[in-house]
Amino acid sequence: MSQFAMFTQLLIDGLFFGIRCSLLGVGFCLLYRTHRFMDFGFGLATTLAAYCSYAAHVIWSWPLITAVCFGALAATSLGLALHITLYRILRERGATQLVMLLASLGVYIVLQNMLILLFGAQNHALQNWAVVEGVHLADARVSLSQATNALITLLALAFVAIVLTRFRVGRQLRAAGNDPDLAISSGLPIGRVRLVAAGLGYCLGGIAGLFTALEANLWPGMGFDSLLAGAVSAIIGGTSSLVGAFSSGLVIGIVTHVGIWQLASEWQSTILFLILLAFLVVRPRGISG
Amino acid sequence: MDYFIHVLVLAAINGMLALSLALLAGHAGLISLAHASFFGFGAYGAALIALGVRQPDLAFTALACVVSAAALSLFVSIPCTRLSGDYLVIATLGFQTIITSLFNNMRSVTNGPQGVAGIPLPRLFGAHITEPWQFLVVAMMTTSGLYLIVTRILNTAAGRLLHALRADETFTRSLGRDTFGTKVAIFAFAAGVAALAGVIYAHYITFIDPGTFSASESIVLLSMVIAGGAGSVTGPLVGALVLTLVPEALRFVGVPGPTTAAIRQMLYGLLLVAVMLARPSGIHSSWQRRQ
Repeated sequence: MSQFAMFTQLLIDGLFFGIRCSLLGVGFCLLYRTHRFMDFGFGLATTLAAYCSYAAHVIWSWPLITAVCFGALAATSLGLALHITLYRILRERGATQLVMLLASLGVYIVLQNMLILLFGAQNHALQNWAVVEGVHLADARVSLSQATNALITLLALAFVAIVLTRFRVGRQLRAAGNDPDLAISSGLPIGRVRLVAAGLGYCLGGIAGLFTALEANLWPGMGFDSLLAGAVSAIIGGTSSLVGAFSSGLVIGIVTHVGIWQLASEWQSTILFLILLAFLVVRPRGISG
Repeated sequence: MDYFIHVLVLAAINGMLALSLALLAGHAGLISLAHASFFGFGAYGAALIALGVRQPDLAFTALACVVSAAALSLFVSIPCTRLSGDYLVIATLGFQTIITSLFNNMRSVTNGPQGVAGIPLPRLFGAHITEPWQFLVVAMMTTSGLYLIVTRILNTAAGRLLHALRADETFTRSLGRDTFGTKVAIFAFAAGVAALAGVIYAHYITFIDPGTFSASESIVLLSMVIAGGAGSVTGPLVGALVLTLVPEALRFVGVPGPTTAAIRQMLYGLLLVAVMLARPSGIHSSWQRRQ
């Protein structure tokens, strides 16, 4: 492969990885804006979605489409369940931001190990067939699953954008994110708004987890990587802006891929965090902060 | 009896880790999820020195690992001095991920996911340490020494500076205190102690792999500290003792190893949630001072 073709391939792979980062970034940002704490349950959503679809497809041999929908549903339900029970109770007891974070950390570690007990600590594959060769774009290869995943991601993000701009609850959600105190004092149903944000956020996280499972593997610790990718995109984009999270996700994806030109792919997460650490030194509160 | 000693050695090592993390997370208010990475750094350092140099002295290994871990901590403490709360948590978790990825992927140095086996038994000041009780003496003396140092630190101006940092950083700085230096120093101290625990652990278990020093382990250590009472000194030690003994009881009932590991982490997670429900206002109050 020529240098140029290599570069285009990296650029395209980076773009697809970036779309996934954007998805995670927007999901994380939605949660963080309305809930105001770093929710490790978001990472759990990606793991749970992947494992639920694995159980449905590989163990109970459901069709792939149904299994994937089941996974996304499981992630959404996890978000709703956590926010109706534990997080609501904590909030009522006046928990600080850090206490909420630590509680979600506890939930994370409990459920991750529950998955280890059920499925073992090793990697699993959701699909067993070989990668379907897709179209060629200027000497570079785009696999069919990459293209499908990217399309579904963009549709999901478009759905979120429509909810946020066209629906009443979406406008309430943005209001609650911009100024929670003002929103509450003007009679906004904050509980319901938070619940919608949790459902949407966890669902986006779940979809990202499903894509990881479809394109690579699923493993118990995958939630950490997703959570961190989401958090990095959201922090670099400035946690107040969904558009920022989206675009920084794209940039991060391309930078990490083109950046690893000479390196093996296992260093990807390392590069991601080096970017984050470097970024935090220069701008501790994001581009807009 | 041997088994009991074994558990006590582990408890002492966990005690060291909990105490140093308590100083950082509890007293200085800098919640770090990178503690297991320094623990692992010490363990890998000890393993490499022990396998590379012929019969090194434990004191030499410990010194080398502590100093380099303290130096390594600068990579996380300097970028993080401007962060607090959840940003600090995510940044330290990022650092932890980098280190875990190094343990897993630098195969020529760390042997990757298979880990390093056959770490030789150490010598300390010329004497060979072979029996578990000898390890117990070393671990206990280190932990007690650390306990004395930590209580001493907390009773001096430095300790009050840490508490001031936790309570209000801007105000502390307005009094002319060097908050930057204090944060960097406390991070370096905690990292050094964690590395020391890692050195003893590596020599005692004689086998190490990346899984022992993962992000989950950092969470476990944090829950140990929080359950014991992050604002006290004896609390984290008691927490480490109890939370090392309880999962070991599972092994007695005949639960297989990997299952025990998962159940152990689940226990810690549940405990963390329970403590947060009981003390939603923060982790810094110790059990005694709870209203």
